[in-house]
Amino acid sequence: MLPRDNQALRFFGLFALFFVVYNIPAPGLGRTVSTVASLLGETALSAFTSSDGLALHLGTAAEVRGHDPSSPDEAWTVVLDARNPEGGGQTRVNINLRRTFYLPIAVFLALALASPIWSRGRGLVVLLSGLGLLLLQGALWVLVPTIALFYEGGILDLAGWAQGALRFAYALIAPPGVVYALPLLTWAVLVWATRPLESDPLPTNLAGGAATA
Amino acid sequence: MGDQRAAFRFALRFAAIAAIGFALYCFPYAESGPAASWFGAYLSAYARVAGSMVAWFEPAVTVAGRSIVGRSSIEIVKNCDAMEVLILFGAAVLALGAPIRHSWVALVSGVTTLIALNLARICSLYFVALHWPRAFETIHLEVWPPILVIVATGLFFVCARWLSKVTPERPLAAA
Repeated sequence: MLPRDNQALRFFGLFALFFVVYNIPAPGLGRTVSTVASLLGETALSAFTSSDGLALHLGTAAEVRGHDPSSPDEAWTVVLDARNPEGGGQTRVNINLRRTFYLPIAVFLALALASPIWSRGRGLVVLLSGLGLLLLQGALWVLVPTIALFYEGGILDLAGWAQGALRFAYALIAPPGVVYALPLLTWAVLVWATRPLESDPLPTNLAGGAATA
Repeated sequence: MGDQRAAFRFALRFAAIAAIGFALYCFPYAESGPAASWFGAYLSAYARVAGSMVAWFEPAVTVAGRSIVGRSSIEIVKNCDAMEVLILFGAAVLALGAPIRHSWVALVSGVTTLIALNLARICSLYFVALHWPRAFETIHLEVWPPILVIVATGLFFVCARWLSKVTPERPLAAA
């Protein structure tokens, strides 16, 4: 099951190439992502906002805080403002979309595109399943700190066990390496789960004798 | 079928060992309990080792608790020890199911290499904070973490190859 040296080198070279391409600074990309996310998020949040209860507002960092050139990831950041008129609690959550969504997806895409899985729809299955799972993981990266800050800001109350669970979840997602390790594990599991079984017939274009090439 | 069972066993063992490692490390221990004191002492020791490495290049640097203080300063907190990478690497090596004496050699060699790399990371971050403070966040969160994950993955494959060579009579779970 271990790859041969030349296969491993080819895979690693392709992965590095794709990953570098995804990390080339693209002017406007962060701002586009954060603008779209804030528009979608604001629409979704309107369901939770009422005239007398919790008020939530989502906007891009430049929109909410004003442009700050010293903030390195400002273009990728959306800001969630929450206010609870009943309890008087108020808090502001900065959500960095680059670290919660873009980087894990870039790692996963680079791994998937570099893998020899692009036959008979396998690559597409890996790609779509992986993106779905990473969106869920990204949602967790947003939700856990948001709930923690809501609790600290007096927006919501949590039972003792829920505080413990939140601290545990936060400790799990906080290490910077997790942003890169999770897409790697997701990719490995999906590539393994979709591997061709021994009983699967060869693709017709390989069945003529080129299968060992 | 044998290969598939072996890979499945590897995945299960890996998930179980990693889950135990992360549960122990991330458990919300009481803030004034013995576990918190132990973590405090461990992080202070980490800071002392990293501080002594920084002192090779900047002799005036001092270590106060978890902080390395000189012309710039950085604090060692719980995630600075790259434990997530160590746990995943350790779980993967142990999940191979090699005899314990060989696994132990692979584990200690790999973990030592990763800790050395992480100490180099902390030292470099001290100098990045000093000379290029605007680049600190990017190098801290976007340059070093993938390097650690890639090196750990590479080390795992090296260990897996070595273990499959030294234990040819006993096929490894993922080899």
